[in-house]
Amino acid sequence: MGFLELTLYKHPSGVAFDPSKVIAKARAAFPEATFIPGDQAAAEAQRAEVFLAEELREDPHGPARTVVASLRRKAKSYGPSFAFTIPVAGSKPIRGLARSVAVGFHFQEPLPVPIRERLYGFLKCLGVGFLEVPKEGGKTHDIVADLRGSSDCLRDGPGVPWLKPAAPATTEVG
Amino acid sequence: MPDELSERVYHGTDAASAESIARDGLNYDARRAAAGGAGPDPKGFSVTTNPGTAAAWARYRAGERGGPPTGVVLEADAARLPLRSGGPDEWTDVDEWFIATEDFPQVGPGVFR
Repeated sequence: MGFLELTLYKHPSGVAFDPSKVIAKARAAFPEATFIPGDQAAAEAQRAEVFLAEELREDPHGPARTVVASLRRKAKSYGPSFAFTIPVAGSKPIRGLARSVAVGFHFQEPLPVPIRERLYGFLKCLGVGFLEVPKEGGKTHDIVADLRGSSDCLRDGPGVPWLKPAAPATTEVG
Repeated sequence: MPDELSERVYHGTDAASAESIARDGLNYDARRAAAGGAGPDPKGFSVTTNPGTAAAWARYRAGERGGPPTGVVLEADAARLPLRSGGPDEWTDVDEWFIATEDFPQVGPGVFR
């Protein structure tokens, strides 16, 4: 297994990707890829609600509600989540994933250098974020580049959706 | 966020993931592979102090990924884990704590059972 990822989580830029813009760029860069329609994170939350429907009816505020609420919050914070696959001759396809928090590729087997370079090139052209690769046999990760350039794949508007807004300051009265 | 950490923490998942976590410890790459189209939570590996919540996660992950329908609830001694609670700007679920990705190498084989 292996991965390459460009993440904005805890990146000092304070920006978020627009996954739709990333996917448009991916379509041009990987014309051989298959793009899976829809927001996969929202779909996961919906599947959970259906799967746990009986438990939700029996105990509306119980553990099943925690699971569904957690998946919905993550879909909103880190999504939308758009997935695609890139075929590799003689090997399992590369899985691509574009979220507001990160864009990355996951693969089952070592990749030929030219394909690896294409993936690196695509992530670098997104312009901003920590570029991460596996370390210690995949137990953890290493940041190989901290990109701080401009990007045409960012979400409009200030702030990032995965940070909890600060609580309003309280004013003492009396 | 919980007010205080209990002695045991729990993580509910499908049987194959549970076996991997128990046998090999936490692995960033394996976690990403298991996460599928929604992707992993970038803040890290989540645990809960509530075994009922872990059991619900286990049932859902088993339904989604296969294996025995109840899934598996792993547990660990909280004192052996580099646990963090959510920061002021970080979302966490009720009773949720987490192990940050950079701390995964500290959680080796047999810590979760």
